[in-house]
Amino acid sequence: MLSPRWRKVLRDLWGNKLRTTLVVLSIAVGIFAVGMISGSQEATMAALNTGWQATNPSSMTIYTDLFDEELLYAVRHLPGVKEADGLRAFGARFKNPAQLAAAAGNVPTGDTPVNAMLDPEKWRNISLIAYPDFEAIQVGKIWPQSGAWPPPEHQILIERASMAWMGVRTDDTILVEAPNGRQRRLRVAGVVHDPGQMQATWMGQGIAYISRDTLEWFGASRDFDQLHVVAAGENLTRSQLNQLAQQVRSKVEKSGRTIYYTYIPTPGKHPAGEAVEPILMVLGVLGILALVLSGFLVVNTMQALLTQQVRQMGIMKAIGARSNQIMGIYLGMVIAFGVLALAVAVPLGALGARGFTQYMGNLLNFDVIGLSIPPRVLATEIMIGLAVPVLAALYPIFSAARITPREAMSDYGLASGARQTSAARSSGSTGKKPRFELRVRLPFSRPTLLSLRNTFRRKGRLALTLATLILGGAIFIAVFSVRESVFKTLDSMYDYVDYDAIVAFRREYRADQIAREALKVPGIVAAEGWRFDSARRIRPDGTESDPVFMRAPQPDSALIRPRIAEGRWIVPDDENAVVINTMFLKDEPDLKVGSPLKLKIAGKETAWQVVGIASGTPPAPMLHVNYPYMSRLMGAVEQAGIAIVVTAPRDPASQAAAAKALEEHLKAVGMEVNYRQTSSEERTQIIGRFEVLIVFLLIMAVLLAVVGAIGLTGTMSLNVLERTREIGVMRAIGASDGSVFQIVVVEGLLIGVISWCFGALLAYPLGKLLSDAIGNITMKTAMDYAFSVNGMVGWLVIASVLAVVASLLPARNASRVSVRDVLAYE
Amino acid sequence: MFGSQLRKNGSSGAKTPSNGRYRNGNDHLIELHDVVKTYRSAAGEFTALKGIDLEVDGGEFVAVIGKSGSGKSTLVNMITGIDRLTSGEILVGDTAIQNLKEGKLAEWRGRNIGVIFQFFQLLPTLTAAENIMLPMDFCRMYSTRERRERAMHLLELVGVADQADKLPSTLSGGQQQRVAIARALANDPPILAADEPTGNLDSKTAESVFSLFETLVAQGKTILMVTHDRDLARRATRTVILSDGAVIEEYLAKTFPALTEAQLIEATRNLEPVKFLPGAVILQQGAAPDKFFIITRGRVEVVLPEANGQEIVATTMVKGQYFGEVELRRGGHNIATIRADPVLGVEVAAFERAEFESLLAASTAVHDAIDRTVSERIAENEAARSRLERNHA
Ligand SMILES: Nc1ncnc2c1ncn2[C@@H]1O[C@H](COP(=O)(O)OP(=O)(O)O)[C@@H](O)[C@H]1O
Ligand SMILES: [Mg+2]
Repeated sequence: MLSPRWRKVLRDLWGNKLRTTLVVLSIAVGIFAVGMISGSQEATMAALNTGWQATNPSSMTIYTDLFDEELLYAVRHLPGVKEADGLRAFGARFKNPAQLAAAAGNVPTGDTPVNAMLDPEKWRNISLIAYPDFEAIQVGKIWPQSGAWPPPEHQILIERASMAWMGVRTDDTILVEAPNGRQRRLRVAGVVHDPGQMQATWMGQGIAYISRDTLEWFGASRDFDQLHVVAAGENLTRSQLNQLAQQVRSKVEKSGRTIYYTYIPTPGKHPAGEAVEPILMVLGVLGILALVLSGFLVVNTMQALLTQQVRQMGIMKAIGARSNQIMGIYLGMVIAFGVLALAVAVPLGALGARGFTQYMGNLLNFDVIGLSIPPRVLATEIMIGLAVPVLAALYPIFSAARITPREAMSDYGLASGARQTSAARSSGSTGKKPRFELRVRLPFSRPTLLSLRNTFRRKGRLALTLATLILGGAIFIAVFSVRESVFKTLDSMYDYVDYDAIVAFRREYRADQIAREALKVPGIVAAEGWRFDSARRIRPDGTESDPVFMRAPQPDSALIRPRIAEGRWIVPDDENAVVINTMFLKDEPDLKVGSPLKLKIAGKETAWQVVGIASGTPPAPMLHVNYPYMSRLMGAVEQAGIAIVVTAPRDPASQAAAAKALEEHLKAVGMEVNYRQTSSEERTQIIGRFEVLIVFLLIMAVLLAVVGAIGLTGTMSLNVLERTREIGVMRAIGASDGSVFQIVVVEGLLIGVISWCFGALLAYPLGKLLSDAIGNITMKTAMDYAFSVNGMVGWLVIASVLAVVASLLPARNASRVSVRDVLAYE
Repeated sequence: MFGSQLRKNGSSGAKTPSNGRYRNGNDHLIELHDVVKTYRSAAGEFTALKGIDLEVDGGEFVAVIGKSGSGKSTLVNMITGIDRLTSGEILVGDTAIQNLKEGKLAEWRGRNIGVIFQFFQLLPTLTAAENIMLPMDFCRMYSTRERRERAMHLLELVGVADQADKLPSTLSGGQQQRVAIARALANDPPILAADEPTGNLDSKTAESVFSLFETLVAQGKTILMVTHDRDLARRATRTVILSDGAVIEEYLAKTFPALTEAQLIEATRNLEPVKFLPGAVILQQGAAPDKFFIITRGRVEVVLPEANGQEIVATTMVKGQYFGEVELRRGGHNIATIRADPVLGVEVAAFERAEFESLLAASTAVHDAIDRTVSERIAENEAARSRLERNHA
């Protein structure tokens, strides 16, 4: 049989279900937040890496002239090479006739979401990939997901993260046009999963797989142009990898082939790492904040709880309970709360983490493995669920267990005296005048005045509740500020663009011809012919950078407005001057204004000098050079590959219409167009990459708001429970249900509003910190900070609503207190 | 000649080595020596007990009375160890409670003192029976099985056995107080301390609770009860009057009802408690008078010598009566021999001549009252003498 003291613990838990629920909820919400945040962080990293490692990713990729199996076998037998594979990536464009039909309203598109922004008649980019042997891929493995495998002849398999963007389903037929202009209809025979590929939305192109026979069907060679090599040995340094790359390259070169580019990724790093990093960073920061937040909440709840029990502790001591027995009873109670909270929150946190990881998995194209709780996360959860409450309770319990029963039981001097203890301090202040005295006559009603005074009575608890709400609110507003900063930064980056559409040609034409023809199209008011080239930096150590866009606008072009962070912009008689941007600097941090820069353009090494750093360009690595010099350098004087036009009017629809008309006109005059894109489309695509981050931040903001609300409900309820006697007295002297209700609600509202004021203040620096960090990670430049007034107003509304809602239940309980309860509480 | 029979109980009482009944040298079950309690609060210091000396024997039923705020609760809390004294010494049985640490003190209290509060203070989430079992649990008394039985037995004793499994909130005030008393008896402590146990009860219920106390005293418990009710207090075996943090000697108050409380406190301070063994002579007829006595406990015999050298007990005096005033007022030698009761002995409060005089000077009413008694006594004495002489004749 259970001894009476443990029966008391059980009854206290069971008998006061509202309080137990609140305390458990307060602890649980913290556990949940941390469980979900840290859980998704760990699970995302784990799943991402597991998936990525399972593909057997290459240590290096060498882009070269076409080669066949013979060279592949030779490379496979090189010392230091563990595995090698070739592949052919074939850039083409496609149209989706099914989508065309759907757009016309004839055929339902089913449940595949179709990007409504896209013009179904528009060609879009697709990368067709062919492996030597799909059934025995050594490096960069992919897996069949559904349908046919390997790719049947004259049919196509689509990477699963491209399906939605392409708007296709299995069995659809798409029209694909090769660079040589040959068009083929291909049936979508199946879906594959390639963990190395990301959302097509992010890349602006679809990924698909074809057999080498299909390659030939397009009139292309069966041979490969990429060599993927896995180095033997673990944890190789970059210079060891460089050395190996050198050996592979000389093998290839000896066979008479040209090497275009060698790419050595950071070992073990997922290609989506860049996109994930800021999210994981924010997750980490929010995880810590959630930890602090729930810590506050738990400390607050525990102290309030124990304060209520001080009298009972006194009684128990008076009838013979030793201090350590009392401590045992209450620690037992605290642990019971913790265990209940863990039981509720750990599974929910794991579910939340799974949901969120799933969301990340959809975006980053990885599979979520199981519903496991990483041990580190579980340990943190247990710490919050048990250690924090116990620690928070230890001091109040310890001091309450040590004071004399008289102190514990009396209404006298608890707030006073030399033996002041925290339990005592927070438990009674009858002896002390509230510091917050309203000497002046404020235009408030009596009950409102009471609310005002009550609010400031329990200063310790108020401080903790406020801290919770302030932090929650600050994070909420900060998150909105980050969101606005992202938009503002993108806006200012897009301030760069003063054109409306780009049309790229399959070959080069005279720049003045391009401009002349473009201006013939109605709706186009300005046009220029530019060069767009792709270059790689050859670093001083001989390695090559990722390909970078190189724009050569006409001298003094009015169609762009670059923002210069350092140095200067291109001037008309510049020769080998290059303006880099901050995004390029992020990958090549050693560059400065005045640095020499070696660039490999179309296989040719050229020497340049950095004259400026632009911060305001679209958020991708980009170089700007002077058109006359560039066209001379490329041996194509006066020639241009793209048309840049300005339309009137400039809304997205008019842009699209004008661009379409332009393409048709150009075709009609015999100019071969490769693709067209309006600036609004480009912008949407880039913003899309930040969407994850923003959606994610909003989820977190909501989560934190919930933590704050539960905290406030807890505080208000405990305040009311604690004041039962006083409320009873008020009723005895004639307070109506309404006025008791009002007193409590106004108090809650007051707390909400105060927290909002401080939260908004704190949100400013917090938001700045967060957006700077995110800006630095994503764009290598601090973002243009925009403090979110919407977020601030939004939080005021939310905090007020939460405060009122959080006070409703306690207020209802308060208005039910009867005079009789007062006696019962004596 | 008196010296050997006198034992002073001054402020240094227990510090003098003694061969008392208890381990700390105390003869009485409860002894308080110069107990001071000062409350410190934001408002400043307040001394609620100003040097209390008190002795209570086993089996006594002591009522503590006094105005509200006089320090009654404080006094009881000192004795139960519910609160700490500021200075002085409290000996209860073998324990000097001011030396105990909080935890030990609680355990000691659980076993030795049953505490009863004005507001019952039952734990709201435990049933009546469980409330009673709680002290046994804390002090690890009785086996787990016995606890329930004992709780039921105690509930029967206090007459609420049918309420055993109800929560306190469903019980009436009287029933709650009975449960609280049963809880105080849980570990069978020798002492019960009750602070206004009837304060929240109607007079009929109060009466029945009080009768319960009387029963318990009859069974050998020692009870210390704070009360407002003078009628109830009168039924206790002894009354301790508190005024402004000091004990007023109850017989002093009875003897000099005209004195103000301040004067009573002053007088209480000045009196010297003296104890005489059974049969000891306090005043010898014919000796020079030097003190005034008030009987605080026991009895004295007034002895007149007979002509044949025999003595005759003319009368006895009991607590509250005084002697020695005649000689002090009138001068001359003692008119009779006064000695302690041969069985009970006596305790008296003794006043030096100067103190006695200043008492009389303090109030004309007292002065007159004493002088009235003096004349009465002289008349009585004369009458007795002549009766005696007549008998002889
Ligand atoms: N905790 C305390 N702090 C300050 N003063 C106190 C405290 N407790 C009691 N007092 C004061 O000490 C005096 C005696 O109190 P108490 O023993 O409760 O009196 P009683 O029980 O006789 O009414 C009163 O004047 C009271 O105001
Ligand atoms: Mg009192």
